[in-house]
Amino acid sequence: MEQPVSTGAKDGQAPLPIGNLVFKLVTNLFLLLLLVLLGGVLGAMVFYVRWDEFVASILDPESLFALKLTAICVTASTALCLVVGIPVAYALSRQQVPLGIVVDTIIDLPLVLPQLIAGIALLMFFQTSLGVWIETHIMGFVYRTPGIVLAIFFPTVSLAVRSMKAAFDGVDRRYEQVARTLGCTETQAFWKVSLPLARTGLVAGTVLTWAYSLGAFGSILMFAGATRYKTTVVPIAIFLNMTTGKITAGLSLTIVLLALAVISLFAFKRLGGRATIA
Amino acid sequence: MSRRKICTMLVVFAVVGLTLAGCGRRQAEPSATTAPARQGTAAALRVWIPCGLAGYMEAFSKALTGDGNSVFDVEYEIVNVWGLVEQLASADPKPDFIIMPGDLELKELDAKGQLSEKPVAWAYNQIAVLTPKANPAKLESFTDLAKATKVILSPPSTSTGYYAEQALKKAGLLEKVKKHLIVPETPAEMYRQLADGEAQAALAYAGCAFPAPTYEKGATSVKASNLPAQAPEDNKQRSVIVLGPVPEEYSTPFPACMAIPKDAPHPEWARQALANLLSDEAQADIALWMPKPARETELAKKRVGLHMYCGAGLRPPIEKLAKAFEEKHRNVRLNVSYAGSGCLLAQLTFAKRGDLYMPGEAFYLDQAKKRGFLVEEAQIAYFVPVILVAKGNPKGVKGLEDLLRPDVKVGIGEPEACAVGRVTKIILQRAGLWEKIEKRQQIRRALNVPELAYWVSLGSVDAAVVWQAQAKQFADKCDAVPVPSKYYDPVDISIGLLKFSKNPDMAQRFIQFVSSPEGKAVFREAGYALEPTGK
Repeated sequence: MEQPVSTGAKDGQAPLPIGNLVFKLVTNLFLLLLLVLLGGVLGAMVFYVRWDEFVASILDPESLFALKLTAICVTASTALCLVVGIPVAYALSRQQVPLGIVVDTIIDLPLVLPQLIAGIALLMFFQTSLGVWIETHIMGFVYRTPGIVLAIFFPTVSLAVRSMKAAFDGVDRRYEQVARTLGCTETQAFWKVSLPLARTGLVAGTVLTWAYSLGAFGSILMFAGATRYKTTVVPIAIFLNMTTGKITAGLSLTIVLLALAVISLFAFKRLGGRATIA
Repeated sequence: MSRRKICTMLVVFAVVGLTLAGCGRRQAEPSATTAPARQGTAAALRVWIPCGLAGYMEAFSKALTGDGNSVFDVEYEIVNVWGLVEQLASADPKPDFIIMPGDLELKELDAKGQLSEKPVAWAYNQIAVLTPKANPAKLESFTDLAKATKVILSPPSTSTGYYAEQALKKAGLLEKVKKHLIVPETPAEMYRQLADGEAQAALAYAGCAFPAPTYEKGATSVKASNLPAQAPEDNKQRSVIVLGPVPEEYSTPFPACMAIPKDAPHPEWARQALANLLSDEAQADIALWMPKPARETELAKKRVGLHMYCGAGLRPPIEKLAKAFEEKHRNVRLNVSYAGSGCLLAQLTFAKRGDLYMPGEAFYLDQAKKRGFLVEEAQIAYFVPVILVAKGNPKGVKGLEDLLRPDVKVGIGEPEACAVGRVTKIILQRAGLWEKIEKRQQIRRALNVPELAYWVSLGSVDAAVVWQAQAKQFADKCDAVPVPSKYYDPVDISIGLLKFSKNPDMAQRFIQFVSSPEGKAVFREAGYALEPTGK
């Protein structure tokens, strides 16, 4: 207060209003800059396509097929992530897993693996005796439609586990302990207490997984291939359109993908806000 | 350990498969060539064939003799379809067998009581649009015939003439075309007029695009042995090209028939030949070079799935061909997976499955070959480099020299990364411009062709050397300026049969189909060259 011109807070001294203002201004400026940048880049893409062209491209049977296939595969993969993710997340959150940090790291690995390599890894796996056995006795995956689900599942399951573990971490263990003292078995405590309390967090995690799955590309391209009317989920259809000069068709599908992502991310944020209550 | 076992088993399977496939071919080849070679022996089935089918004589020999398993050989006489009735009446001795590309001629013979039994369809045929190689009227489809000023039709008494007229009538083109109609005296005359450019188009069979035998004035037929050696796929010396079949909405396929004349010297052989031509193998083979086989074959009942790895840039022609192939072989599901050629190579290397590989660059096929993945390969078409500029050519780029102009922003493919880059470098080196271009500041380097095309279409560069095929795909936003062919070597595109294939026979059929005149016509339409351009 004695030195109104100073720009920063010195140790022990109270922060100066003008310094606060500048700091606030700078951070907000960067925020604005990023927003303009993102808005400009995405907007340029969105406004490149005329409305009538957009409608025509989306109503094209190939685009409709891609949208339908994507909805099915992404949902199936997300369901699979849920089935696997909930027990794994619970185990990681509640128990002392031996070599916990190693297990945790292994589960995170697919997140950093380039998707193309994830696809190659899946191809390699299906060349091993176990993989061959699965293909002959259970179902075929390589270059087939079920392969898409697997190609989405593999790189996204880590994300599902991560977000669901956060949901379980948010539930105070004491509620479970109280339930146990009131006579619940561990299974009952999970079903009656932990799961309901973590519900919003789990739903948020599911939505995030679903949104993230929409963009899966490299692993699908490698493992399921880009075959028309067979494995052309939206990102693959975009790729095929782009390589053969159908810019409008590619961009139109991209816009739909963006819209879906916006809706689901929005939902995630809303749910995520409530997820911390427990 | 068990993984190693699986690997060994795979290798063994591949080797066995390879050997079997290889043996099959080795047996097939001699029989196709020996049949005509043994011509003239006493034990020959004398077959009348029109010039429009003469290009397929080898295939017919194989089919008629049941792949060389019959007691007789085949001897051909090329007949003029336009006067078949008179020819048969005066023929002595009579032929054993007549094969026609249509049905009306044989029905007429049957009505006159000149056949031993009713004619039988051996396939279904379709009228096609033929043009001189240069395509002077720049026709693109059947309906474009309205633009042509000299069109050839066969006489209306023939199947060709009749069905062609019906198609024109249905398309409402008959009156227009009739104004400048040419009706030649013989089919050979028609071929000559097309080849010499005297006519701009003809409605005939696809087979009529092959060089026909020369008829002596007044002669009605010519001995097959007088024919120059010719292979149906030999497109290099072709002077007449097939633009494509008349769309089915104007002309549905009609039966192509065969018959045994009354008083045929060898009726039992003829009946055997007829049965042979309808056998599963023969019908499956016929399906490859005729619009439709006569019947669904046994081969057609076995469901077959083929997986093809295809360079993403080749999608337009391959998509069309895959669809046409599936229509011909209803039992086949041809799954074409598109991606970058290198990406595909990685896929097939690791997945060790799939049937066909067609990368956009020969380099990758060579890599696959080096790794021992290829059983055979076939050369299909060539890339044609062009300079891509924005629609209307706003910067007025007329040739390679303009790439040096300071006001022209240039994009080039990275020579190390993609074929178009390598070729661009050669072109500019030969034009003596490479060093100057390299020194230019305003130059953007792309890793693949679509990238270059996008830059031009979005206006971030003014000119880039790309393939004509991409120029066609971006035709609504870009124009192409030709590159003189003396500056580059032909850049070829090939398709390979993979050793992993579980259905090598069917995969091979697709290769044959893509290499056929029909298949190559699709590539030409998509902007590829069928003959090596460049020096």
